[in-house]
Amino acid sequence: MLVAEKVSHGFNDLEGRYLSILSSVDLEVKSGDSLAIVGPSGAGKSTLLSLLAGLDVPAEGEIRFKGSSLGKLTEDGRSSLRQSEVGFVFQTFQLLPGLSAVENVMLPLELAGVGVKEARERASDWLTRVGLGERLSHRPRMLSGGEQQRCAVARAFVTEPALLFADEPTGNLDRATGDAICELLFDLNVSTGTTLILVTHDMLLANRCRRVLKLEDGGLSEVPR
Amino acid sequence: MIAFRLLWRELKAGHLTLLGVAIAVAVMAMTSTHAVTTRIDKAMVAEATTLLGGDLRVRSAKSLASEYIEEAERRNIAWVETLEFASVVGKGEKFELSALKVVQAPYPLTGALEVADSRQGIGVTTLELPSPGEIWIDLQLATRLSVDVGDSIEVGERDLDIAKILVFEPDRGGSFFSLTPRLMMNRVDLESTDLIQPGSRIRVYTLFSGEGASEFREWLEPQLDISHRVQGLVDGRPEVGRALSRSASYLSLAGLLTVLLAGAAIALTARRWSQEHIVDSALFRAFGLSGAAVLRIFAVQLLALGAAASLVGVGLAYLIQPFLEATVSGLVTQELPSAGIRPAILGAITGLVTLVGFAAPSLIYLRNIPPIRVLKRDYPVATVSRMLSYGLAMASLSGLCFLYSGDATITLYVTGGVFALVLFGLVVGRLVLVLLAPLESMGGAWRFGLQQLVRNPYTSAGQLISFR
Repeated sequence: MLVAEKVSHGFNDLEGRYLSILSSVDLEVKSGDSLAIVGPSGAGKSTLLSLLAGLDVPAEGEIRFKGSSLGKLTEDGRSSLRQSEVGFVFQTFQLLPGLSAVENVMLPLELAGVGVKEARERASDWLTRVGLGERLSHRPRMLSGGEQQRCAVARAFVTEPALLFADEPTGNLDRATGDAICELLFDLNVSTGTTLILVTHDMLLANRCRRVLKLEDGGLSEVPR
Repeated sequence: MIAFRLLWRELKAGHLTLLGVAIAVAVMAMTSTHAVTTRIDKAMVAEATTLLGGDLRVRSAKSLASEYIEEAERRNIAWVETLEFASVVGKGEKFELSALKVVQAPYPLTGALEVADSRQGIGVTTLELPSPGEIWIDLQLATRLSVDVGDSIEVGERDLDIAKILVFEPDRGGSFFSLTPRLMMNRVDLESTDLIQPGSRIRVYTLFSGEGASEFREWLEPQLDISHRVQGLVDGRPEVGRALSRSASYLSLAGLLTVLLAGAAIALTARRWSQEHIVDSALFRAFGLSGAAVLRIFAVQLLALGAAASLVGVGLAYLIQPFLEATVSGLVTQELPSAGIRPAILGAITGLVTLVGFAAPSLIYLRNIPPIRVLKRDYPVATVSRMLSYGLAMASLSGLCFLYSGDATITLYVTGGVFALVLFGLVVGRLVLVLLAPLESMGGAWRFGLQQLVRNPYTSAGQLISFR
């Protein structure tokens, strides 16, 4: 489903020197799989995630999704692909503060051109599914951290994406809440068949995935289980 | 749809209040000044046409050809002919060189004559003309000849009775000819006075008045030879015309200064607004929207806000008209006519042009936010060039200046002046910041306050210019 071949990437620092982050990374992810990418801070986990999700293109190498090379697509082509195939869950939830819970979940549907009525119905269903059926009209600031992340999970799943990327999904939550979110993510991964790729420091969360990969010194290696 | 929902939420949260107020103030300033100048302009034009005796006046040495008169009648334009010439009139031993005006109905076409019953009398408006056998003379002539109402004076071969003292005649004007003592008589008596002889130097004035007077002028003027002089409001009464165009230009410029200040406020507020929406933009991009689609969402929000704020500004401008009317009431003698819809339309255009000119860089910046910013907050964003930012602002100001003044020279001066002001502000602003930089070492509040100013020198300089 998703293949990365000899992907290298880096950035220029403030003095203009090139800093290599990823060096010839290879990866293959099968449909319905769950994969955790772990590693120390600054190892390039989020960079790899952004490349795999088509948010950025690698300096070298190729990433293919369902056979299409992301690097060969235009910016708009990658946007279109993300719209139909990709969902995101972020560490800081990234809910729009001005919108209610249901409106936040409706957002990706509305941006994809789904009518308001249908978007509202689907968003309400998903919020009910993640346990926020009574909180539809609540604004993010009226929700706890765990509830906000549940809302973000509902938003990620509402478009029924083939691929779900989660960047430190429990990083801003206490242990119990993090566990609940973790439980929710894996349940949905199984029930919807969505492929899950997550980046985390949390080995307990990582170990819930079928595969765990460690990113260190620009290279990616499978963690033996 | 999503754009309007986001806009509504932001309005309710008060995030767009300052931006909306800035737009409304700009629109109110321009609409109210333009409405007042339009109303004064209309009133002064109405007043000035009465001072010309009609909408149009043709001066010639002899009567206009009948084909021109017939064309005026065909266009339903009223007309009348008056004659003016200099002659000596007298009473007993006293003689005086006077300007004689020979009139007939329906003179005057606009405005009205004022007459008094005696030299000491108070002038009252009259719709009448001197009857056959009678004359009206002004106070100057009456004093010099030591005559009053009821006396008669020699006019050519006739003795004509003084029926009134002439206090005001609308088309007297401000020329040398108009300074001499005046006498008005009926056309019927002209022949019997035997004043007009072959070779006499007379001025024939044909006055026209009606809806299509300006179109008639366009038709008539090219057909007349050099011995004719066509005069409208501006060329007939140049002192009035110049005053009108100058007052309108200066008031519009005053309004433009408000737009400049409001524009600076819009630019700074829009910049802050765009900074607050970086995450939203990145999120939209991550959810699969193209840069153009993101731009559309934010542009729709800003334009909707601009339209609403413009409406508010226009409404306020019309609401404060009575107060402005009170302040300018001394400028014109008659009640100010309605401004009409044009100032409102121009005001709304002002709001949108100012918004686009000053907030467009912020919109472009939001369009440039890469989707990766959802994950990496420090990922660089392609900034909008300062040249483009200032260029757009200057272009919008220049466009508005030309829209209101209709004068390329004024537009050029204003644009040059604003450019020089901005340049001066930037240089002085940078200099002040360089001089203040050492104060950072004092620590505490000084250090934090100055760090912000010194790190964003162009923004700080922009704020300085706004305060100036």
